[in-house]
Amino acid sequence: MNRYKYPGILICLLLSTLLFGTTVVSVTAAEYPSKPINVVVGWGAGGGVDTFTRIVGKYAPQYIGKRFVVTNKKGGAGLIAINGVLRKKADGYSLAAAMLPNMIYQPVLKTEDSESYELSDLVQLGTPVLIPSAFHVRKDSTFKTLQDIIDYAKAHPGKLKVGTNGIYSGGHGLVLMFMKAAGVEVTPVHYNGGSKQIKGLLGGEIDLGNTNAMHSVRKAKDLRTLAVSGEKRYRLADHVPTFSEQGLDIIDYVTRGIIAPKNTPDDVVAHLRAAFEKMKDDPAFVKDLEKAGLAVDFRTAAQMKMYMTQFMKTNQWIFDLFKKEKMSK
Amino acid sequence: MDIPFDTLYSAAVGLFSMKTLGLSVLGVMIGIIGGALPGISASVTIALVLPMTFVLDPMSALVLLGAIYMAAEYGGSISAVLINTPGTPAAICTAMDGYPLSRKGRAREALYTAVLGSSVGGFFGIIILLIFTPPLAALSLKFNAAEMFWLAIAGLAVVCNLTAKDFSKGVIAACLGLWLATIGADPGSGYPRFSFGYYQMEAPLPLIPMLLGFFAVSQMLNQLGRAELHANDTKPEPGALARTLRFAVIRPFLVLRSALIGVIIGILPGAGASIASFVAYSEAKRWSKKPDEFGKGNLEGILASETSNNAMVGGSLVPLLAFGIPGSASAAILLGALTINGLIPGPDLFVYNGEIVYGFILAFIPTVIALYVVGTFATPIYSSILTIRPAFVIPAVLVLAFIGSYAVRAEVFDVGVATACGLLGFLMLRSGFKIAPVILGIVLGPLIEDNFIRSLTLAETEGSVFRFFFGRPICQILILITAAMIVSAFWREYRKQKITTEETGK
Repeated sequence: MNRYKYPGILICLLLSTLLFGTTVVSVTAAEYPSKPINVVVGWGAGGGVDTFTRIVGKYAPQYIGKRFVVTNKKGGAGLIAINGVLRKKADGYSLAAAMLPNMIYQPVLKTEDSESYELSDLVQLGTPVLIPSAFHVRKDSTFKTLQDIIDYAKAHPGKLKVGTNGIYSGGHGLVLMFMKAAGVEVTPVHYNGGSKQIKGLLGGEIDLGNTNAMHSVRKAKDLRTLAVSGEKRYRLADHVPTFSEQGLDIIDYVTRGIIAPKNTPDDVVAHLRAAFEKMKDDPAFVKDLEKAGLAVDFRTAAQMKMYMTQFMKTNQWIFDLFKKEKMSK
Repeated sequence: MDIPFDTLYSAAVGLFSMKTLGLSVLGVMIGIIGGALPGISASVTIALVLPMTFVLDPMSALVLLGAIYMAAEYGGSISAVLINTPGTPAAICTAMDGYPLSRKGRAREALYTAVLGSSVGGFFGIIILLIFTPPLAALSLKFNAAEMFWLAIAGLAVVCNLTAKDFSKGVIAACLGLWLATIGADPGSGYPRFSFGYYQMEAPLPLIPMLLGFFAVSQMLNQLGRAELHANDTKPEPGALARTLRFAVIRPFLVLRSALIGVIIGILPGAGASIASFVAYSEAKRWSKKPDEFGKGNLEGILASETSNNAMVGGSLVPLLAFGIPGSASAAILLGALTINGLIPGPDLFVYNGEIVYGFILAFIPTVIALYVVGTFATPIYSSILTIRPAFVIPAVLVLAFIGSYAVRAEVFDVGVATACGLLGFLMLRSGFKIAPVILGIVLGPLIEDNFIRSLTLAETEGSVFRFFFGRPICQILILITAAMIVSAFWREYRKQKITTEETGK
């Protein structure tokens, strides 16, 4: 009997280790989150994405379980922030705010030697906000409708100046979609961000502003919005018709959502996704976002994935064109 | 654009909180110390404190930084008077007359005059800022890409003013700054330049770590091995305070002229405090009844130089708030503070963030008062500030600089940026280069490039590139101003050299 003693202890040890190990795993899953969650925002404090993230953060303790610690890592339109998060441990305590279509354009158009992220490196957790893009003119502009713009652009190819928030950005892509759908030729003029573009529009440097529909709400005094690029009208500016109402088949959304790095444990992802779905039904949350000019239009991760796949398929020609131009310059 | 009096009123009411007034006084105290310590100028002090203001709301942050800016421009005169080492470059003129006075045991009188001039000049600059910035900001809507391009070029032309004596070094430094600004995505093609595959370098290098590196780190390295200082005494001088007040009151033209010079030079993009002092000082000498006493201890010289370099503060904020073009290195750092808080210079700033901006401007009034009070009654403490050993100052500043560069966006990479810029700046300082042109290049480079590329696109739709750049009236005025600035810088340098050769020849 005595000779079984030694292996017996071994087996006990082994079993207890296994038991201990499994307990550790299940503890993490059951107790996530056990400490505050770091969320990085790749844009400046007080900007659109920052405001959104801080509003989500306000409701995080209630729905997610722990508070958000929001850090701003400005630079390269979210590039610094997202890449930074991907280099952290994928344990659900390092998340990032991210937006479409930026999140698609950036990895698709990166250079070959770049160590920047791929779209597949990101896990969608929930996207509470979808804002259509919008075309605006100054209040005193002679263009009253989208048709006026198209007529002018047809009569004067290349003369109409349309703003974008940067070369090869989502807004630049939208200009190309517009040119194709309307069969016109316009000149895209690139700005370093939406506020500067709006300043250029108000100063008469460009004819047509092209930012997200939030500006139609915030700058209603100075701007007339001619069209929004959603399937439906934008709830906070519902006097503005969509492109499709005016005969152009253009769908393009700017989103505000939260992402995690890939390899984040499945149960953590599930917990966060469920929390965002509940949060979107809180009337106080909806109201806070509306105050910031953002209408809640929640998409689950699966819905988002479908939209993104569709978007990439429809607009592959834009990526190809941009890639060719960028690399040849 | 009219000045909106209701916004002004509510901003003024908001000022009378303990918080705002407390920040004004705090800023004045930090600024005086920073200005007084040799090697730490106004810009270094602002850069060091900036990261600590992230916890404050935008307006409080700006009030604090503004107070530091104002007070540091005065603080430089303390070391100028007591140890003949101008604490800020702008205090060189103050040293010329202040130090002889302190040798004669009249240090307090010199300092009282300096703080009086600083406060009056500062106040004058603020009034100009308040009156002229809103209409100028409205005018900035008329500035299209081509005009902004020429405005930024005019800013770059100031390099001539800063370094006319050693022009090639100035150009090299400015080009270095312009090159640093090209790191990141090319605004014309989106292609990452000089990124070497690092994702951090696919975006522009962060401004504040670069500023901390070039100003704080390099200056501290440069101070290594500096001898300990011995300050002249500031023993009480009965009646000196009243004497200086009377002295200034019977010379209204001197004060007004110096203040005006300071404001105008401040408004010119890029020209900083030292040029303001120099011009005001030489004008004061020209108009004085006793020009021979200048340089031997004439209070008029101190009054002129200090009035002017503090009037420059308000002036330098005019182009900053209206166009986003900083009028001095310190203003360049304040631009960083504005953009970090999501405030973009231009007309929108006054329409949508009126309370913050007017609050920021109006808060200078309590600041100026605090400057006079603190500056006058804390005189005995000054000499002890000056004798703090470099062995304590240098490590403390370095620690603050590195923490600050990390705090901007919690990136370790940014600490590397500050270190690299610090070493580079140190080598440049030791080989006789100036740092200010580098900063001008870094700040103005993206503006120049972005607007140049946009101008080309816009010109194509209008037919003629030449007409777009040279045919518009505002462009032509800006080109003329640029040319005049370049010519005058070299002309002044030529005359200065002629005078010195004549004098040595005598």
